[in-house]
Amino acid sequence: MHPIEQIQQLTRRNFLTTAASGLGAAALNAMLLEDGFGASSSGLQAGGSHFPAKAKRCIFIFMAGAPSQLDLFDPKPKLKELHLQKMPDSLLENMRFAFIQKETAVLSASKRRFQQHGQSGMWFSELLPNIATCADDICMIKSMHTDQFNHHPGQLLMQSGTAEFGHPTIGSWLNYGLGSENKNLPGYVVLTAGRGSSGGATLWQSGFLPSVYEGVLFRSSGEPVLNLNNPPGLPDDLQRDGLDALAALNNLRYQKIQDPEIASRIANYELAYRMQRAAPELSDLTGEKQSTLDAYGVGRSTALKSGRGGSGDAWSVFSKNCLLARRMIERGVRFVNIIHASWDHHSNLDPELEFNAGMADQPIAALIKDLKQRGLLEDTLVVWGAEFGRTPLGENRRGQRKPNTGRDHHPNAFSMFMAGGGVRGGTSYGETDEIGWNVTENPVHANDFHATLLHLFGIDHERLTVKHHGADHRLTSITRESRVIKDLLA
Amino acid sequence: MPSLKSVKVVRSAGNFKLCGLPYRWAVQVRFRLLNALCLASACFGAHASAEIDFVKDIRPILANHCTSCHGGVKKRSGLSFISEQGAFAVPKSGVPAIRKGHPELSELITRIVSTDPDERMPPDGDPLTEEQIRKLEEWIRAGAPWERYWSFEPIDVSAPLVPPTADASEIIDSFIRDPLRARGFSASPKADRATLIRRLYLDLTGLLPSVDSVEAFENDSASDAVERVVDHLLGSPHFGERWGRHWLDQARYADSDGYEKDNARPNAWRWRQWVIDAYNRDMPLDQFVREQLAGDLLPNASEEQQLATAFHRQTLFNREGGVDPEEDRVKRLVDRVNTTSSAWMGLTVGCSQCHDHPYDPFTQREYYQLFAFFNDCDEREIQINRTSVLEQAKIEQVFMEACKARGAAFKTWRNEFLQRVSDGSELPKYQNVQLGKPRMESGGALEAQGDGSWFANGKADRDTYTFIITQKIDDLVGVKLEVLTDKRLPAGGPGWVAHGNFVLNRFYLEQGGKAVPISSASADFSQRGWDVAKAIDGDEKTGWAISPEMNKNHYAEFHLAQTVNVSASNPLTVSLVQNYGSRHLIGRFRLKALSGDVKMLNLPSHLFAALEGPDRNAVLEKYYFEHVDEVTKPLFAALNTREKERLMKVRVMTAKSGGRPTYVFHRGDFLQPDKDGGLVMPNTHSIFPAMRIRGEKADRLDLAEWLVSAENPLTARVRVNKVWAHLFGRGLVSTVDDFGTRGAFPTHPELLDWLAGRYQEHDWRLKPLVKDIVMSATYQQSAAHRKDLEKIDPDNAWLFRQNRVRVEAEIVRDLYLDAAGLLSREIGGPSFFPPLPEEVRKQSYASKFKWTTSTGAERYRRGMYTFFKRTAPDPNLITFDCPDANVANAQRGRSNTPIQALATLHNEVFVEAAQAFSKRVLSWPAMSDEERLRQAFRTCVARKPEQGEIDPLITLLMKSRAYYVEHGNDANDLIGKHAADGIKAGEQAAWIATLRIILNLDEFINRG
Repeated sequence: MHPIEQIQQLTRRNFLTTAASGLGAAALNAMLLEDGFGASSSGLQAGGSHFPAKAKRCIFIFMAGAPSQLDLFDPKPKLKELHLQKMPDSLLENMRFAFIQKETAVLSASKRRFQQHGQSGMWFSELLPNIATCADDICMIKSMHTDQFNHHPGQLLMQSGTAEFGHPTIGSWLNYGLGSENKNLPGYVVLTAGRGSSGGATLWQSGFLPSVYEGVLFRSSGEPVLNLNNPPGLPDDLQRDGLDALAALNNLRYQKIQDPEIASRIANYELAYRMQRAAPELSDLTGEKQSTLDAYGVGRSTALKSGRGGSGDAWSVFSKNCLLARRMIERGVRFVNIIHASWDHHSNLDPELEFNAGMADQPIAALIKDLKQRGLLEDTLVVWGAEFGRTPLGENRRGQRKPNTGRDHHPNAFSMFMAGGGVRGGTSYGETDEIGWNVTENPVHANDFHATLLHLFGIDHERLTVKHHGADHRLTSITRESRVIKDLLA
Repeated sequence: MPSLKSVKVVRSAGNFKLCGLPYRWAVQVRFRLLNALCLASACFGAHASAEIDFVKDIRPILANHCTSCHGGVKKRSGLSFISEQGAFAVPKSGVPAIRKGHPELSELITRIVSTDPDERMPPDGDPLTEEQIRKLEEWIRAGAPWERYWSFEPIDVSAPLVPPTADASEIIDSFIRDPLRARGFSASPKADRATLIRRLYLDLTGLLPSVDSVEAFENDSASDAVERVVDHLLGSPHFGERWGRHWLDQARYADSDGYEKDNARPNAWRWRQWVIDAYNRDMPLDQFVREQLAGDLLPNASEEQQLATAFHRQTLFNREGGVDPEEDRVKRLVDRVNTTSSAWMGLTVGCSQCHDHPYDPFTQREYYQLFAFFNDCDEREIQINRTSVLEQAKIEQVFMEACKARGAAFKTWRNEFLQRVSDGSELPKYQNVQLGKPRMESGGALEAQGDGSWFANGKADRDTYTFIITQKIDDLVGVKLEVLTDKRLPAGGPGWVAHGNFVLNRFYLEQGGKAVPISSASADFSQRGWDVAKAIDGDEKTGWAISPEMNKNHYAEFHLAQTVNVSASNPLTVSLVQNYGSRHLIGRFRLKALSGDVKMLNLPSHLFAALEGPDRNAVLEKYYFEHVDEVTKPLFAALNTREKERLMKVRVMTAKSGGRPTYVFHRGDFLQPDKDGGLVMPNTHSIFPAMRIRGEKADRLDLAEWLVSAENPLTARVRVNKVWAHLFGRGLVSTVDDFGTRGAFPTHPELLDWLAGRYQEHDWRLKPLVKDIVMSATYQQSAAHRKDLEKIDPDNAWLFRQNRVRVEAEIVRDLYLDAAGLLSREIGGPSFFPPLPEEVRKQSYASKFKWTTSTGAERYRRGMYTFFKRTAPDPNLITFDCPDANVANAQRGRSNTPIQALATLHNEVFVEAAQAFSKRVLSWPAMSDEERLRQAFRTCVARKPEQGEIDPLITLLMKSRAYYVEHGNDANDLIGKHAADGIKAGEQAAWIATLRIILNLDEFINRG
């Protein structure tokens, strides 16, 4: 039997013993606890973990397309000296690029001014002045590296631990392992702003885990979740009456043939009804103070000319997504993935990055501070990440000598950061060489990052496994030995 | 019944043979023996003794506790417990791990019992249990017999000893029920008729049985009632849809490329059509494998056989900027190797791409042997017929039948025709005509040539030639214009332009100052885009031309709309307008007049030519049915249209001449071919019987033949197990996609092998196999849960009841539309576009991705025809566990979630179904609310509702009525586009609010 089936069977058996004589309120509650959004159906002891958890929830801010670490987090003064000079062939030898023509490529210095911030003197460029003020809560990893240098495979690797298709994503694993804390909302929510990402829906897939572990797309305006609203013309009273009749009929059938799937179905219709109330309440910002809205930038206009990163209201939507993420976290959603595509700056890097940073900086800083002020940052992990980084070489896809103001994909070395959730704030970890080409100190592979993330949640990445096609799969790829980076832990 | 002691048990090839017993006894006794030893989940290979069994007792210990370090990937100390050779190899230390017969001298035992943490194995986690240690000791003491894994052993078709009279379904039942009885349990009773017919309809076609057919079946007491339903469903073209879709899962079929760009594949459906046809024709599996893996290599490969190879063109294609094409090609090859292995052999060989397989006996080199088959391929596009062979045949059939039905009409026409012909004066006749007042508008000269033809001698680029006919012609019905070659013309003519072409922009006739209407024009040849009809279309920018057929005589005929009489007092003016320019002018020509019977005029000359021939009737028949008869003519035109638009491009595989060199890739990295390791030739895994090679180097056709050879231990087993899983919700091997050493043991191994054997006896045909299974009492038993057994066998591995199974995503939607009366039953053809929320569209990175929602009947096509966009699939599919088509899928999940409830309660498609369902229900004849609800209930779930099930619905209906009578706007909103004629909005809305609850019943989307 598939292990998942085993687990489901287990919860069903529990249900049978508690509900053998009918489907009373107590039994329904038991169902709601056990089924629906996957609470307690995990490879772990119910609600438990392998060791004490620091983090309980995660907001993953995924900058799809790959922002330039050289213009945001990892200053390289040496690049100024070497600007427009060729790279040593030894570095280029085994390097692959998406577009750069090796023969003519030259280095490209960042135009950004960098400053140190906080007690640790963490570097940020001028593009992220607000996030920089959170330096003491941030744990910056400058030595990230990955195996993939195309977007979709790279995004899959970052979100699901492998560039192969069909594997569960981080949010699926966490919910599978830990369950959800709120039965009326999905445990795994996705918020997007701007255009679609390369990976599309595969970035929140549940892969070989049941679809209950798949990310649920939330909208920042209108109907918050797909299919949430009653059909036009159906009042709530009749919805309730209808669902009561439905439960009565399903229950009669359950009495007759005792298939626990029917009991699950009854519970799921009830959950759906509750979600109809919980989701709009979640999205309703009228209870938020104006100062909070302002801090996140909800309703602000886009201050720069629109770039690839989104048109019209991109800034405000992103702000709202960050605020919604906090509200979800407050309500016990396990994993929120805020996805923003279009950091793929092969050209026009300077204006485009200004646009995107202008969008991201204020709300992310507000989120971290808001969580902290509410005491939520302690057990909420905030992540800024992407599938890879960008090259110190200028992009020159037509082989021209002068770089065309962009940078190419760079899996060798890039930066990500975390805050809260048990990470060591005010730490910069790892080093890259003087032009940012390779990691020189404390490399962190994407899978090491995953192992560390799970560790923060009290999960041993080698023990949270699911058997699929004969192999015990885990978030950290089985073809690689991954390690928890202890230095990142508080 | 004989006592157990009297049974002689002979062990043979891992199975038992029971001698000297009739079949039925044999099976019973066999299972009694097994039952004493094992539970259903692990009974394969159990022996009738207390001895340790390697397969059951030892291999699991080694696989679970040892092979992660001493396996295929890591062979610590040179030891590997995945093969006999590796386990008994002398390790680096020189001390053998296992000394046969001597546990006390075996390092393996020493290490597992050690209390020294540095010595003890396994090094991490808990030590082995005493039971496990004891088993290992006993096993070694008994000589450590090593057995190959069950699924790699030949299929045992010798068992059971089937009496010649035994019915296949009864044999299946014996396999299931004898062991169940031996355990002291009985099978479940037969499901009631309504449940059974619904089960059969859903399993075989994915559609609802009509209430009429349910009632007919309930009242059918004939002994073959079930069989007739089964035969009917197996013959239904929807069978091919239902079972073809299962195969599409394994083929990772989709309508787009996948990855970031995810471009559409507008012609992908054509292969889907091939699959549906193959299932409807019940193509034998050997042919199915051969054509899909190597259709292009078959002698005289037909279009359809080449198309079949698109199975391996369903791979994703990464068009993201900067992708290394070779890397992406290698990725597709890897997918092909993995998919071939999983789809047909149930093996996951993917691990051995980078290193030897960690727990199955497959080496990395062998992986590249499989890889080499596909490395020798190219991806191509070919042009094929848009209409599948089956579909084409169907249209032809309709035409042929119509012809038969119109036989009498043909005879009437023929007789009339022959009558006219025999009265020769009425035949159309050509005659040369005298032309008067020849004139060239440009001022050149038209010179008579003595043979009735004229030479146009002018200098202008554009010109119009005119004549007058004054000669007496009665019954003029047309004019023939012959254009002729002439040595004086450049390139020999017939035109004046350098290459001999011309353009006749307009041909017109005038009489008494009025145009003479010309009804049609035909020519022996027209240039593409310059049809002769354009000479009479009134548009002087278009016209008739003849390139590239210059330097030949040609003619055009212009037929008059009605008969005209010409005479000196009533002359006819002829004009040839040629204003294309650059001397596109006719150089030499002749005019002839046609007179006679108009009716005969448009008949082609070959009819007259055939009058004296032996096939006169056939020629006339063909002409009549294709061009004259009002019934058959449009059918022929439809056939013809399909012919015209018939070609489309499809993606296929072809052999690359000479192939490509294959090397093992170090760590699976395509940039690191291990050239020192030497060329890898195409071949299969050495653990299996060797393949036969037709030529010098094995190719895909050899691979296909090997897969379906009688010696292959896996293909038939894997296939029948999947069929079983589709009919029971669970395979006899529960890991349907994993027959490797970490997969599950079969719950009924001998049944599995018996079915595999039977399948091959049926020439690898699916329909007889399905029939054998669904005719069994095991299949037909009730799915109700049983208090006596759920705790003992929670997985129902013993099959003491049927399983209740939630239908697949596509079928959920189909059932809603079917109940509503909206479902389109059109089979095959291009994908359609159901409504898709805007934000789902936006998920896709491709900003140019357009989704034009289908309208009309298209919108209600079966779910399997949904356009599947890999990066933005329809949430209605994904929510119900439809696989994402990025990797092969052998078994779908069956989740049960609140998101599903939201979808069926609120999603546009499902709400629309409720609206249309109300329209259908209210169209039934006058009856009470209760009757109507009962009928609606039966429409959805087939069985009759109990009173307790009707009462809540009546209450809901009353409440809804009370509401909607008062709230007209809400009523109209709820009704949407499906207003019922003659029903008040409030009434219909109340029914929608009630019927949607029946549609949301758990039972509705479950196959009971």
